[in-house]
Amino acid sequence: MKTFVKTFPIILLFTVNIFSLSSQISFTNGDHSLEISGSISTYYNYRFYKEGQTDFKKNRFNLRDAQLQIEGRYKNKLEYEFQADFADLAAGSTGVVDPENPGLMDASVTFKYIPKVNITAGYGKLPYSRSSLVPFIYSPYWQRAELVRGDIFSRRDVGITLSSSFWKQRVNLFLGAYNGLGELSLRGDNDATGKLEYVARAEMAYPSRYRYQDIDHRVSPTPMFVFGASARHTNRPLAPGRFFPQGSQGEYMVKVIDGKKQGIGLDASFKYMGFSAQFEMHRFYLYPQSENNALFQGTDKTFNEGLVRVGGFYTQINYYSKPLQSIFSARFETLNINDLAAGELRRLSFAYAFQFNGFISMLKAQYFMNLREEAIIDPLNWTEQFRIGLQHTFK
Amino acid sequence: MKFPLYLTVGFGLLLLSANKSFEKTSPIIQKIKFYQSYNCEVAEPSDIVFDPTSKSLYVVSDNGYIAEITTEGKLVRQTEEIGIDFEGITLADKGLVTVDETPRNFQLRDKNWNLLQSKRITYLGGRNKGFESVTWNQASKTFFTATEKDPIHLFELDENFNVLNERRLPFKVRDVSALTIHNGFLWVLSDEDRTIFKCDLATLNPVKQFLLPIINPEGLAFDEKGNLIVCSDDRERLYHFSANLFQ
Repeated sequence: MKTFVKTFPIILLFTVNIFSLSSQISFTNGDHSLEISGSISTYYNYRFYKEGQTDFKKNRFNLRDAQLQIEGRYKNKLEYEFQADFADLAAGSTGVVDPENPGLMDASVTFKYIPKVNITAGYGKLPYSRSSLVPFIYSPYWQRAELVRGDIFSRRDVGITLSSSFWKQRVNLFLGAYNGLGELSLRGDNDATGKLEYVARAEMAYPSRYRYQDIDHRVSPTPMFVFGASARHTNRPLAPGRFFPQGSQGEYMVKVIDGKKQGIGLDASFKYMGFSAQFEMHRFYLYPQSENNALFQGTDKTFNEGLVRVGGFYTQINYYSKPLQSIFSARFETLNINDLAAGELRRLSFAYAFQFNGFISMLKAQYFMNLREEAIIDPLNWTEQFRIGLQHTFK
Repeated sequence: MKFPLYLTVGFGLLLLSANKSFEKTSPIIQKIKFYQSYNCEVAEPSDIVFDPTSKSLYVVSDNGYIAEITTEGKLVRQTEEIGIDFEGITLADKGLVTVDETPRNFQLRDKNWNLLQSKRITYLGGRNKGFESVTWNQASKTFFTATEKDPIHLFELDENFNVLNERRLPFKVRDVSALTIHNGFLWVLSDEDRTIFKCDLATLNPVKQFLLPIINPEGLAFDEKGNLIVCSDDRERLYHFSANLFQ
């Protein structure tokens, strides 16, 4: 706590001296235009550890983003995007890949030659989970909800996506096939099963199209809603003696499993007069092929019926105050990593963002409080956490 | 855990520092209501201009085409896809002038859509934050055009689209989605603020502000009676406001 007292004035000093910079740069020759943008963000993290802890390594500054993005467009026929995070590329050299923020974030091309259907090929975000699709720079938080961060399901992968919009862009449909190893697909080869993962998503908005933004910074004069449903399926039974690439199974070993994994997700978002709210839930059905798989937690097949359930939900409410140039937000989240193990993560978070210049330059602060934890699978050594920092984006 | 006192103090200081932004007071905002709205038979309409000769509206679409519609939104005729991302349209002495945001292209066409003149103006700002609007000043025979945001530049162009002057708006606004000149004033529409600023043509200072009850307003025009027509891009609708509100 004393460390926190000492460091906070320094952070505040940085904060009050920040000034706005202009946004991205673009070039065009008339048919082909190219745009360069990016973002840099840094925060200070302070954890309130449980008694008896001696390792306080998470009390530190962290360079979260050092992103560079290049987007191109050729007439109305083709778009491409390349986005990399140098902060995570540097961290990745140590062998650690943060699924929420991998080094390479996007390298994809969207072909618009066919009427009504866009085809996107390459590496990028999967059309699964609304929260995952909302760009992080529009959030007052420093971290997404645990459920949608990328350790339960992959947020990015290599593959192909077909998308289409109807009814004045109020209805959007997505269908895609991907390697299924998520961010680890960038290593080149698939796993030994050679199987793919299939993802589908549908969303409907009313009374007009609903952009991928959580905060009602336009102070909508009419209530606006969007509902979405996502689903994914993969079946990857490994042959004896074969293993998945290291790290592909995620922190909780449920991201990629030896067997069948099916998931469904529902999400909704609402905004009106500066207020906005989101709700999102996911349920995954895991069918490991071996009765001895660790996911069964040593239970008998007559008890587990060959099925492990993973899931949870989060709900978030936000208020945007234009006169105060501020965003206030609260979030409650749950996550059950394995229904065969006792316990469930329950966490409350509060966030505040002060906009020096819209979403371009923001001070962001987030307070986390663990209400419950899944002590058997994921015991935590901390109870509360505070994170404050600055985000500048030239987007 | 108690919430640390220094955090409270810190946030308080930040909020106080924000007061600097509000020092420049603007005229009181008047909330206005439309008396009628119509479906617009043009996809993603991004700007409109009223033609007093035909009593119709010319509309540009984000999808790269121009259309003529009735003031009730019915399609009269339209071009093929001839642009990339049209964002502004105005009626000048020589014909219709459009601005294509992505290629930074200003084009003059006659009312039969024939291209008479085209000029690209280099602007290095964001691809989707380029020229968002254009309007013709009959008195000075010049065009006003503005970039959308980050930052907002207001350019004055001659009849051949040569830049004569570059200015900044002297008031706080998050973006500019349309401009028009009416009754000797420059009317500036902001999509993100849902506000129309009625500005002095010489100083650009706002003399009045109107808050719109519309999602994503992208274009504005006045008809021959002085009624205001605003188009919504996302909703693809036209909203009519009585001229009495603006007298």
